[in-house]
Amino acid sequence: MEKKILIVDDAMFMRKSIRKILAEGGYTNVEEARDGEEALALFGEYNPDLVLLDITMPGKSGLEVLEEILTQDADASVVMCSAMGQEAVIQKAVVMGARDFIVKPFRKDEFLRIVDSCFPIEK
Amino acid sequence: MDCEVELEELSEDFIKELGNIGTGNAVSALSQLLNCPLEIDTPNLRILPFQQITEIITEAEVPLAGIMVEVFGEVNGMFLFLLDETFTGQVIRLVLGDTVSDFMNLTEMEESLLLELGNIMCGSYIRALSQLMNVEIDVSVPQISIDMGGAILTAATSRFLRTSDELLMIDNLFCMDTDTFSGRILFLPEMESLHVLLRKLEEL
Amino acid sequence: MDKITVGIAEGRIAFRGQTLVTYALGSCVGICLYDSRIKIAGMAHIVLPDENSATVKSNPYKFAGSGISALVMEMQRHGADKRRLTAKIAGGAKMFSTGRSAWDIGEKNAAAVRQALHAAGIRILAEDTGANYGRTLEFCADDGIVQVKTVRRKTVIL
Repeated sequence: MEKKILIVDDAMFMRKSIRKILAEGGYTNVEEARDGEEALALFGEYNPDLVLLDITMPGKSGLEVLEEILTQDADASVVMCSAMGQEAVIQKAVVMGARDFIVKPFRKDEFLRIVDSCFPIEK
Repeated sequence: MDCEVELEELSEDFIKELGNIGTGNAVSALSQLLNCPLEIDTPNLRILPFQQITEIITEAEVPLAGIMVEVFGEVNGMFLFLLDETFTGQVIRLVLGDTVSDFMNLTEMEESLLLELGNIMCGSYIRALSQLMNVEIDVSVPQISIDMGGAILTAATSRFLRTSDELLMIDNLFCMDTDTFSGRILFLPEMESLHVLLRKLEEL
Repeated sequence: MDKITVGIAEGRIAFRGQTLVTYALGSCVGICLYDSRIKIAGMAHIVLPDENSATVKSNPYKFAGSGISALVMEMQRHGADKRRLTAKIAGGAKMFSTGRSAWDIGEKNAAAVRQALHAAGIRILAEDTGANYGRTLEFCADDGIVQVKTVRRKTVIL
């Protein structure tokens, strides 16, 4: 079955770019959320297999959204995306339960590698 | 507090090096996104009386795109990415493939691109600093303003005027082709933050 | 027409045949005071609303209140009558739309200017403040007319 991916980022440009990269990787069942509120609402409805979550957003921060998603579903797969990528923040996210962390700007191949790694072997 | 005096105590070379490293990372990130080589000029450490801030751009009234990111945590300050109309057009053409029809009225997508560029560049700049100096720094969501360059500069920096009549900034120009200076990034740390960085440096 | 530039955190006066200009007001506010009888114009470009939390206060033109006082005194020194003075103000924009209140400085500047003018008994004849764009002001001492120029809009006459 096709994997469902939810992109959460306040920048329209980023959401579109990621969508394009995902399509090239064969992932076409994609939804977008502009901020934490939308993300949490969509998470419940859409039930994605993977969430790509930006850290720096207006309103709820990525880490806050991560926490709430994992409260809703402890097994959720969430990959954090950030222009920052500080040790402390990465550690915090991983300890909280994030699956992986990718730093912007990311290379297409590296990005897809990380996404693919979230979906073990069925391909 | 006189910036000049403060700076004598701090190492000028150290601050220039911060600028070098930060800019190196930021511009490299931008270059990657644009898929186009960019050249950096040596960073300019400037201490300017606030009243002269608009002198760093050619004319105060010429419209520029300014993306501003606030920096906070162990280091407080402001990061500003300035692009003129030409560079903005080049950036948008390189990434989105379209031609800007009206610089003063960019589409949501075009603005979003610039915001994200600012976010990524600032993130790279700050990441380099924080890794090097082992400091915890966070960044705000980026903001954009496309209007008179002078208005953007003064609005972004007026808060610094409360504690000093001078601005300390690390100014870096970079360009796409050899002659024209396309864009610049400014990093304005609060004076107190420089002390923090210097203390960290001594601890290394 | 002789053009006299008023820089950031500065105050200048002008007489018949002269125009005061200040460029690219963002969150700053331009205050134009006029004595129409003897045709003396004064313009101040202020940056901050008040001296609270300011540690460097040496230049009165940085702040709304002290800037207006300093400008009035300067105009009086050249024969202006405070009771005849009228004001026109512009600027105080919010250039960046961030939600943080620290960035409402433009609005705070405009409010502080209105308050200080009111306290000084100077009537505000017209204003063009707020919004999110930069403004250049040209203030003519011959007739007290203020032109507000922007990048996107037609020139506004105050």
